[in-house]
Amino acid sequence: MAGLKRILIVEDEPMIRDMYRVVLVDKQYTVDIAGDAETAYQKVAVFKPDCIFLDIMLPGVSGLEILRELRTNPIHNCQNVKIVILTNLAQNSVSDNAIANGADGFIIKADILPKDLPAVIKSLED
Amino acid sequence: MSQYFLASSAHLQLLKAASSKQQAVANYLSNNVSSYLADNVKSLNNLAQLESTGKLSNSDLDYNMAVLFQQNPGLQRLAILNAAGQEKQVFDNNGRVTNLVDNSKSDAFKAVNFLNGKAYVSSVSYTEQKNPRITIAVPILKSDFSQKLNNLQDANFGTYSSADDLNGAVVATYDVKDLWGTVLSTTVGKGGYAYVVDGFGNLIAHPDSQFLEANTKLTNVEATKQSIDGNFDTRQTVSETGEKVISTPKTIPNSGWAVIVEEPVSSIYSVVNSYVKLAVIVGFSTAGLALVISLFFGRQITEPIKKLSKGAKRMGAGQFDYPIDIKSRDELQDLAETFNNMGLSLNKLVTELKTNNINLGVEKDKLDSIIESATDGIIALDQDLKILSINPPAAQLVKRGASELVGRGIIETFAWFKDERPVIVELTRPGTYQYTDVVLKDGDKVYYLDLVVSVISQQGSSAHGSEVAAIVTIHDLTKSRELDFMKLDFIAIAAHELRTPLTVIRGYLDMLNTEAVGQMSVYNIENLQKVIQGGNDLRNLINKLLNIARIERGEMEIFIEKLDLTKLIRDNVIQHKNPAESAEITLLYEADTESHVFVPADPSSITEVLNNLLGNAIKFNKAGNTIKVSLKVEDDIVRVEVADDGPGIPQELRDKLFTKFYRAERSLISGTRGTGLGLFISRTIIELQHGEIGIMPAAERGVTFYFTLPIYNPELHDKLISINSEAGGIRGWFKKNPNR
Repeated sequence: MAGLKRILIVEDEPMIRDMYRVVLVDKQYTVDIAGDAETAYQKVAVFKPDCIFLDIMLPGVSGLEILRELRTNPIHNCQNVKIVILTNLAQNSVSDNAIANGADGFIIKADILPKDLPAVIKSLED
Repeated sequence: MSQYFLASSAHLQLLKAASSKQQAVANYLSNNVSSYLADNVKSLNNLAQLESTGKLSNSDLDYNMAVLFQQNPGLQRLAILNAAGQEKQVFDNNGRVTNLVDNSKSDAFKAVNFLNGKAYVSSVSYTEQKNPRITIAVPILKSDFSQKLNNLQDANFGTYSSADDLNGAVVATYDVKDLWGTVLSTTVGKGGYAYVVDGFGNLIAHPDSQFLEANTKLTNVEATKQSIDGNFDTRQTVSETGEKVISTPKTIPNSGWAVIVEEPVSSIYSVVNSYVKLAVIVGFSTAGLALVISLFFGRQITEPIKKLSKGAKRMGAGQFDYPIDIKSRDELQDLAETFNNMGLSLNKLVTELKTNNINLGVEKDKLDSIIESATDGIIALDQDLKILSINPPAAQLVKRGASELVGRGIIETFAWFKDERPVIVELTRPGTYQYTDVVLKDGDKVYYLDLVVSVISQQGSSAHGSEVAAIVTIHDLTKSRELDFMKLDFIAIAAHELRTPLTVIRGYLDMLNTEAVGQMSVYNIENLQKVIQGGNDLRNLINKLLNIARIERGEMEIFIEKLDLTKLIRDNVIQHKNPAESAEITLLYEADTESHVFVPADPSSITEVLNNLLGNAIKFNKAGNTIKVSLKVEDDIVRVEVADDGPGIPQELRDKLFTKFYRAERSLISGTRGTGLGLFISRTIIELQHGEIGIMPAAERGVTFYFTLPIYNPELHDKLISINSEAGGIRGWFKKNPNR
């Protein structure tokens, strides 16, 4: 898929969310944000993102459950949207779980800088 | 005249003979009854001693109780009572008795309580079938048995120091029909017989059952009175039937009873009276004398044979020390003596065997109690890997009682695994085999165990089926493992909580660094670089801690690819140029080949190793020192060295360097920074990729760290990839799903 332009960031920590948004907007991406599962489903329906950065530790429904719902429930029409898990959890089981549930990639937030995100998006465009 | 003279001197002779005969019979009967009682008391005491240890298993107790029934067919009922007088385990001659009763009010139990450890022997009672019964009871002492046991083994009738030592009783009821048969079938002379009275003058055995049925009390009978008074002389008295008799009372030791032998005076004299009559008729005294002699000799032949036959029967019943008293001065006497000697030898042998049995029992009890009280699980196996015995800690692993598991196969009972493969205990050859980190799952519960299997004799050898062929010792590490996991979970959670603010700090710092630099003074730009470096250090530290947690859990993941090691090292050295220069250290890179060297390895992890080695070298060297990184190809491995000419590392510290948190203790001494985690992680990374890491033997100056890796070839690469199956790989910080 070429040209991933519409990016949805699902992240409940405003400082991190804004940091990523500023950098991506600066690089000419169209960015929207969500802080919980309910908002995320609405934005998926309305905003129709090409790529979603999805945090795991969210209030209420976890990112892994959102991932499963988006991938398995046809109502979201989300089979081909790129989804990258963005977390600070360290356990191997978390990344394994994400990959098994159809995530396109997995990033440790503490290990990247906001300016690295465009490179990640590019790598998913082939 | 001559008739009377003859008669009176014959009377005297006869009286004397009758008297000594009575005393012999009374002695014999007394010994007979007394040794019967003593033997049984001894058997009961043996049982009481075994029970007193408190360590006898129920089945062992069953066995020992059953033995008593075999030894004495007259035993009717055998009960073990606890300290409160309740029956604990009871057998009768039909087998186990399940209807247990309270015996605390019984004479036997009460008597044992105040007899100071002596055996209680009841009086004789008669059943409806007119069978005589007695009850014998002995105390069970408290388990402080070691000294008292020795006392008891010597003393038939036991001794203990106070009522507090009592822990129960053994109570046995015997049918004494056979014993009584011996007493009651005894004849003395022509009309003589024997009977038995107890210490209160109650008649307890009499050949004439009408006396017994009338519950006759014989305190008025002179011989009985005499026996109660303790006078055991032979006297002419009036019998219980009112007849003139010669009687001999004799006490029966251990019982408080007495046997009384008596013979009517008339019958004693009847021989001589009839002789006198005959002599008058025939008028020839020698003829009469011949008759007396023939009668006497006839008795002399039949009497010894009777005695021999009785003695043989006794011996057959297990009473080996029964003396056969024959003074015939002929072959019969020789035979009797041979018989007696044989009996004594047998008796000695049997006594020894019994003692050995008791000693073996005591040894077994000691061993059992050691195994029972061990905190590690212990299982004894036979040739067929069946469980011979198992202690509670081992049985609890499968939530069973130890007794339930005896006889079951160990493989079916314990499904333990090591590295996902079942652990099969085999008896292929004697020796000790260790299995560490064995996992046993019981439902949701997971046990972590170390096993030690000591094979004593191998499978299929000729050893007997019930012999111990192997001992399995189980050390349960579950608790400490759970603690470890909790610790690791804590590290993971703490790391997550630290990472979130770190993400924000590093993110905004980087934005400042790229966008706001133009508005900053040089001074502030330098300060910003320091803050960024601090953020990176913090990130590296958290990642190291997480790597340690992964290593500990066995979850360290390596993603193998065909890696250009030459390029990776060159890039890494370039990255370290700046910090080296700021520390005024020269950093050089030397490769012995210009061409690229490829290794099947995980680039991010090898980068981490290089960061550790170069970072340490820069940290521990001083201005003016030189660090030289080199790459050498040696056959099918590549060798990377990081050498410096700094202060070096003392020999005694070198072995410890690659262990976890080594630096933690050292930094307190030297005051240098760092956690010491890096070299431990590096070792794990290199070893996971089939390489080696270490320090070269001491040079003149400085220290040289090295690591090796196998050089790439397609076959090896495929093999390593199949071991580390997830080949998607971490590309730096981004793990991409290879399947999408």
